[in-house]
Amino acid sequence: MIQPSMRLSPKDTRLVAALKTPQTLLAMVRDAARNRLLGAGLDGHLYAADLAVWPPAADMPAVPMDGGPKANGASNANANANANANANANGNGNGNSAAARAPAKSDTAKSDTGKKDAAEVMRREATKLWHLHDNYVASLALHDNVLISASFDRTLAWWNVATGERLRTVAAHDGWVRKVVILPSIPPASPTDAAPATGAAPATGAAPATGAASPSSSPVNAVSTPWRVVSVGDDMVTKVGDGVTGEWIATLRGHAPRSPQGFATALYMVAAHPSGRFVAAADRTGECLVWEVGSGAVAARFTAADFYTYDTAKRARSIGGIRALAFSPDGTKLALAGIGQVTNVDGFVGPARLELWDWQAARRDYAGQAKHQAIQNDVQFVAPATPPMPANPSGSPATAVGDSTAASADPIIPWIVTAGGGDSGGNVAFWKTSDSAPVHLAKPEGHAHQLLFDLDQGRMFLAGHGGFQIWRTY
Amino acid sequence: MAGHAASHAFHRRALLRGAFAGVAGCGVAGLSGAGHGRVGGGHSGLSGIASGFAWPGVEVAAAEPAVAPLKLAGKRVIFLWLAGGSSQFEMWDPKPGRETGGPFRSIATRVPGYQIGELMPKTAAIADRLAVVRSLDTGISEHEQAADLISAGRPKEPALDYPEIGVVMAKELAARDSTLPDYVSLFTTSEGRRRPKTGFLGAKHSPLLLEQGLRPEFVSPPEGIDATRYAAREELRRLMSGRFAERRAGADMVDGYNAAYQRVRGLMASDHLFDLERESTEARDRYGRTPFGEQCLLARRLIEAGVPVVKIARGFWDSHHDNFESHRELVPDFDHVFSVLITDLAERGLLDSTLVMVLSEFGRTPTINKDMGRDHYADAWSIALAGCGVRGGTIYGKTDEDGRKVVDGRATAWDLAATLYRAVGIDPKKEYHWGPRPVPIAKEDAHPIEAVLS
Repeated sequence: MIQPSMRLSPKDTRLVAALKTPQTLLAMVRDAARNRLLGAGLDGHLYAADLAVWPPAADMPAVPMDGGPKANGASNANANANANANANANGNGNGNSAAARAPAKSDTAKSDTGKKDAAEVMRREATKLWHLHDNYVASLALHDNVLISASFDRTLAWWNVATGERLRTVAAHDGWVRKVVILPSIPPASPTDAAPATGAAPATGAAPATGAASPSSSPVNAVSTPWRVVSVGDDMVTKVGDGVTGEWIATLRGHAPRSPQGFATALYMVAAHPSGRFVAAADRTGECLVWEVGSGAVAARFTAADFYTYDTAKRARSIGGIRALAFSPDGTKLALAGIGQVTNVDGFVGPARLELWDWQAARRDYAGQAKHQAIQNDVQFVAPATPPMPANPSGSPATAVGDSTAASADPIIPWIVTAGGGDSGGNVAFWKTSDSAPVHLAKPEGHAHQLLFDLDQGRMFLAGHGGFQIWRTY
Repeated sequence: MAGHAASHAFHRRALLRGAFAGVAGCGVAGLSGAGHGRVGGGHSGLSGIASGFAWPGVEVAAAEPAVAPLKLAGKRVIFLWLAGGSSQFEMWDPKPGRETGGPFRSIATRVPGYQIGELMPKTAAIADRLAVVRSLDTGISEHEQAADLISAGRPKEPALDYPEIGVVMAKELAARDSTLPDYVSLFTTSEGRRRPKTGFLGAKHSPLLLEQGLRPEFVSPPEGIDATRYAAREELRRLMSGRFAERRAGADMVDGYNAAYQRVRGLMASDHLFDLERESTEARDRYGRTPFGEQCLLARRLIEAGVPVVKIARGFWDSHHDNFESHRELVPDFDHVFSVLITDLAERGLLDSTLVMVLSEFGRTPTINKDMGRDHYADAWSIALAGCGVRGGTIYGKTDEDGRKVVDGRATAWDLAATLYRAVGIDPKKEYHWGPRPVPIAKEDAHPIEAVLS
């Protein structure tokens, strides 16, 4: 049996299953308890992809997992939740019986990405679950049995993921909501621990949630420990909310409302530190802020200017932006992904770009580009051998998140993987910090918007144009 | 109002008809009187601003009633060209809630029942001054060909190169005694940069191009040359060119050079018009300090001073990728500047005599593509008009619920051209002559959209 730590060989990755959705998916989470992916996007509906399609049951490892952490810890946080939940539950009666079906090689076709081994791609329709929003769904997050959806309709909605029951809807931002994440743990409310502020306005007090329900209104929250949601939107603020009640706790400010040239900008992405103590958000102009959640103080602020294109002489457009953001598993680094300097606005022709920052020092440690690969919408650290997080997340950043010099050592960060696309089609880029360009580019079917890994079973999941894709990673 | 009072404007054609009638064979575009042109012995070889005559060897003439110039006096045109193709879904013809509609909502306007894209609240507030045509079906969805079609208002012909609408308007609306350019075209961004095509009217009708900035280049006298010395030099040049014309060359060539010098001198004299520093801080802030804002403020200055046609091209609407991010950036800028321009023109008493038109080469596809973009779409798209000759508050034509096809009021590119001509009082059926061939300004089967005309 191949050990999980060996189950990522970028050059051998290949598409094995495609589960089609009517419109593009922008967001995805893994509902491990029900062995499915959940995705949503342009049509506002929730879709499910049955993860039994690959690998077939006969090929499953007899003894799963060797203890290595999953690549996407936050998204898999519910892996032990309600394993017996009704896999057929849904909100609109369509059923998701596909989740229980054995893989079927119907309508097979060769993958355009698997030419070497001519693998067959299993194709089927994703299962339509329930309606989430009347506008695009930009992001999903999962905490135990609670699914949170973030929409361009300016709201967040809480759902019982087993039944499809809407638990509450909360007015979130004055503008599109771009991303929602869940803090891995509750940060200490200790201003004395806060990293020094760097000039940004402090967090404001809590804003009342619109339509927030009481904790008792939710069966899944009837007995709940506190948890936190964090969202960003086009009002250029980052908001921290109570996952149990839906009430906003803090509003974190500091991103400029307009680009330097006076155009609209956007706060595309937020990421949670593995300790739960910090959140980072990044915008179109390349500005990245990190806040200490407990105090609301700005812990770091820097600008990754190469993600932003504006040239007065030719285009006069504010374009680009940091579209993807992730803390390293040890919390010392921030990975920023997006597009480099744009050479053709129409097709967003420009290089895929990845930067790695020591966020506490506001120092860029790595920059890489992939010519003509355009926007990267997601970034993941894939580190099967990553050391565990420090046990004391309330310590000062320098000691709590590990050795800040470790980022240059590849054993700590074996792979950084980004996904996106542009004029040259979709792509998944596998980066090593020792190389200035991706070591390998995989070509998915269509533009990819989100990326997840399950190296325990050697799988990579993509959501994007066309629906879900399941890839073998070795 | 600065510039030429309407009653004092002296139409170029009226002068030429009297002064140059009977001058045969000179080959100068627009210099002949009524009647048919002819193929004659012209000269070629000049280009750009120094070229004063038409298509080589061909005289262009126009048959028109003598009273026409009086009707046209004082009319102006501002052409806003959203290069690359703006999206009707995100602007004039939103379809919220439909699969094709995208993420933006629609909002009410001052025209009862008319909803506009949510990115245009300021335009919504002046919608009663606008006429929106939502039913253009122009067929061609390739940039250059479509730009040619919309700009000229008729399909291309292998045998005849038609002038663009703006060129014809500049020719028709220009005042004889003006030292200002007839047509100023601003395009400082690089996408789809196209210089207005003068077609068979010839290079004499080429606009002044501002492609590097908001002020013309190379129009300042050389350092150390004061006005007196400059005037003396010009007098010497004029004398020598006259002698040259008598002894060695045809008058047409010298006319071309003289016309070029005349335009340059006019430009030098009007250089102050291009200086936005002469505007108040309040006015500059009102339009905004974005490139498009400054261009529109300049357009207002030029129009106010008497320039008959100004074209502003704002590039990079060709949103094959990230259409919604593009329009979220571009439309608010357009919305602000456009609404300020219309309001400013109205406040200055210029709107009734100034046609403002918002055109693109086509719209965007109903289908949202793999890159969250919209591609080219010419089967059902929208434009907007305001001001001179336009019936404000008119929403013309209709598309189906997904915006895929026109279901009411289909209009072609030539219908639109005829509408624009009519709005400023130019008879679309007026004929120029290409040699012996009469050429109507608008395509023969063009039908002005009467509903949008006042």
